[in-house]
Amino acid sequence: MSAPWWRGVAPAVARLPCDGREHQLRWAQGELRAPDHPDLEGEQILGALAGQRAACLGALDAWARHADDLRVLVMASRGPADPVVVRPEDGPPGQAMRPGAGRMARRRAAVTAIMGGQASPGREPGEGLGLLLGLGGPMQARLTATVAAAWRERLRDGTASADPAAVQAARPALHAALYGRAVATLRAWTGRPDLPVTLTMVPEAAPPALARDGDGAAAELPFGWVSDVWARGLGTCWDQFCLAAEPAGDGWTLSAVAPDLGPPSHVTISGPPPG
Amino acid sequence: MAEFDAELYLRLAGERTLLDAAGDDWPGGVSPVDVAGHVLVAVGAITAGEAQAIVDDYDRAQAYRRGEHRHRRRVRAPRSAPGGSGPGLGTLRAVACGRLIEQPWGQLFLRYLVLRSDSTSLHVSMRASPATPGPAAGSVSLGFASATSSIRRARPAPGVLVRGSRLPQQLSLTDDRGTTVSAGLSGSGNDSTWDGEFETRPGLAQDTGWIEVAGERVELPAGPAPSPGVRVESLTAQDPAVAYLWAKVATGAEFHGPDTLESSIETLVAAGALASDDPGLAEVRAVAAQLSRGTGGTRAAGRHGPLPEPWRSLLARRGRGDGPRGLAVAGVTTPEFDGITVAVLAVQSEDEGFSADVELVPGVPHWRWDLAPVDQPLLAWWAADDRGHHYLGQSGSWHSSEEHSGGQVHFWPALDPAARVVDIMPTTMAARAVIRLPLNWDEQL
Repeated sequence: MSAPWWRGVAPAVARLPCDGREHQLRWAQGELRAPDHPDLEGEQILGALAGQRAACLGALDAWARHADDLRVLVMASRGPADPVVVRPEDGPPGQAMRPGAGRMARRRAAVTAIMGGQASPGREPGEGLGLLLGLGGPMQARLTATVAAAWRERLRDGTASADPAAVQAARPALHAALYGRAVATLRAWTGRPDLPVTLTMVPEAAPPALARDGDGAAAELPFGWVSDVWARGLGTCWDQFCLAAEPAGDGWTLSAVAPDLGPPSHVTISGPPPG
Repeated sequence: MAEFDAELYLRLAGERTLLDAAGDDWPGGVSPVDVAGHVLVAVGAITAGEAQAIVDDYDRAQAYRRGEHRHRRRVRAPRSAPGGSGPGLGTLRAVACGRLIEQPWGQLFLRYLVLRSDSTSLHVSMRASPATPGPAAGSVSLGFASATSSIRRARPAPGVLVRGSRLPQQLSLTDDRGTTVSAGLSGSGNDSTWDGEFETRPGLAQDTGWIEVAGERVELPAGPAPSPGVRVESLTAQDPAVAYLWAKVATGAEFHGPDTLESSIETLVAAGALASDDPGLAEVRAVAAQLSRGTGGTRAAGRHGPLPEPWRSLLARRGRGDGPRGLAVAGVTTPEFDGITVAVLAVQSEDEGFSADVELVPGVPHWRWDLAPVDQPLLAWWAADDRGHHYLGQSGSWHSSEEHSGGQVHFWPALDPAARVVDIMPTTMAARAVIRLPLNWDEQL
């Protein structure tokens, strides 16, 4: 049985102003929580009736809404060389952020969601994404990992997934997301910001590979590389490019390629502890 | 060979724009993902809706990285299908005025009047009196003294509102039914000179026999003016990929340079819409190189033989400065072609070139506007005279909304002084309108 996707991804904390105070959002084991709001359900109902919503609850709501949103993979950072710095108050582009604006609309939407359990109608597709990006780099990385893990599961399930057509339709976006992160990692690893890279997205069960290709590199990686390797910060390790990571005890066994782009070798590293 | 995946190609172009250290140094300042989106939609490799969503997402991702996301409030929507239910241009009546009215603040030159069912616009040139302080910056070279009539007044005429600016911002217009309306100024210029129009909605009676402005009565021709000929021609026989490249060259290569063109070629070849050794490519590249060099000539390095028409005659006369001076009022509206309707109001010729005052529905943004929807048709402004010469135009002073646009299209080179007829030809990849205008100059400037 494979390890949970969040194994090896360290917990993270973000702070945001909420109800006149600074609150924490904590991410751990694949879940985002708002520890300063112990009675979450009660606050949600009261907030919906009042047409107001605490910032922390808004962030949780946005996280849930974007947990498998492919646009996260477009907007969020590709790695350390690609910082995406958004102030939380900026909100998403294309949406005015006037104080009090849309309060009634939010109230209607929230009540509808609570009473009927339905997605609120007429919601902007990017709503809340700016807020989530504004939670900072570590939270962005975990949101990316969340989205990548969701789609990796669907790819692995293939035709057995709940919506095979949606998985098929998502392939170009997943391929592009893999390309951006793999190329950014390879360029940082080689120190060549213009390294030409050809990337083939192979099936999840296919063996990954990296080889020289003229003046550049040719990589064959499954989309799962994003959640298994990149999201865990294992893209490069001891000056080697990591093709795959498998859990081994409380550590990892990496399939990695040295700078001479020879055959991959196995490297075992320890920690961090599971969970 | 793997089947071409247009969505993947576009998304990978988007990834490269984010990874590319070049940042803003894109060819012609246009993002490669935008270039690819336009190309793929033009050749039918992807739907406009799909392409626009991807282009907008990467545009937004780029804005996040540059800290510009707070200013990126607009999301581009694909154009609606041709022949939509938007308002048309309607019938219009355009008549020359050719009247100079002296005012205490300066000179008001009435060029021509356009009467529509719902509006009236009086096209004017204004020049502040030299007696008023402050030199004119970039003043126009209109020889007002040679105009057909001139009356000096001691006081501002009734209905002329001169506020802080030295030139009036509003004029009262009256028709032969006794209707008086106040018209507001638009156009371009400075405190001393202005070219533009006074427009009012609703307007005066379309069939009025005269108008009164600034206390002056201007008689209008009683009968309908001889209408210029207009026809629409289909261009669908062209290869879409090559037609796209020619349209690209005609609508902006002089500014964007060959690099943007190469991005388009690369995309067309990748999509399988064009062979990399297509003989048409050498001609396109040769013309683009000539245009971007900004020099005359009819041959280009790297290619043997003369350039193809209409480029040969266009470039052969580049730099000429012997155009006739005058105004020819047209007032003609084309039938819809490729979803666009064009009205040509008037053509004004000067030494270095000539310009056409035009209106379009639906709105077509300025050619340098880099946020055009991916399915925005490339609209090239060609013209040809009865002497076998060709001319190319680009929008200059321009206003645009989703429903309507208009302004001046500046053509080069200078009109052949011996030409008696000019065809104005707004041209998309699929069709063009031909508006045949006799060059009977109504005004000698």
